[in-house]
Amino acid sequence: MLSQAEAMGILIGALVGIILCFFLFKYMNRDKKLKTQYDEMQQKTRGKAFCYSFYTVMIIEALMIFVSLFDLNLPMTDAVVHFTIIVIGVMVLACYCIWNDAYVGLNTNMKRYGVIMLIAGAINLASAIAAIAGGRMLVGGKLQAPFINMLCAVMLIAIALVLLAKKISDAHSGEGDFE
Amino acid sequence: MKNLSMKAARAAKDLSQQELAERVGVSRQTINAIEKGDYNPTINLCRAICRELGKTLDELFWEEEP
Repeated sequence: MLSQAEAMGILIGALVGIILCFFLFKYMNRDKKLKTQYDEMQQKTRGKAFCYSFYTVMIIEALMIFVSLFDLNLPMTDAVVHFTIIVIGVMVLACYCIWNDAYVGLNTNMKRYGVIMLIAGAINLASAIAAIAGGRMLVGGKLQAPFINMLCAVMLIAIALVLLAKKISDAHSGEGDFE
Repeated sequence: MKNLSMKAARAAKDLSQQELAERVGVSRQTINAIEKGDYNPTINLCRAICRELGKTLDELFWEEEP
């Protein structure tokens, strides 16, 4: 169980993160708009991606009911369990969108996007490593809140790898400008 | 089914997929998907493409029965 100070720290961190995201999204888009724009095919694809992501989260949450019913002990705190489920949902959404050309918006500056993702990944990874070094990652056989940083770092690395794989796949399929 | 007439019209105008995409306000991947027959565009996008390529809807998007 988190202490009140730790819980407050996480809450303030989350709020700062949300405010920071607002400015980062504006910086990431070429037209400085908060909303990323997608064309009609991308919007249709993203609709499907949200659908798959939703069902994934629903299925895992349904499984979690059984974990609770059978009183099974997972090697992580409740906060980490729920965050892991969200990360899985986001990964389904991102991977489907990347593979179907609906991840990068019409107004997205990919260089800036890459820099933001790199910095976010590095901060999360550093926090996770610091937690491991300080013995705060695993307490009483359960993964603690700092594992969330590890999950974020892994998610960002995975998204970068899928983007790279898609680029290589497109290059091999000869999908060029003058095709 | 591949949209060869659109591809030919684009090539005749010496436009790349990226250039056409920018002119009609979509991504290059969407133009590629239309040419490959993987995506059926809305009538609004069809009209925008026709305007840019100087063709009619029939010329680019109508398929004669075999």
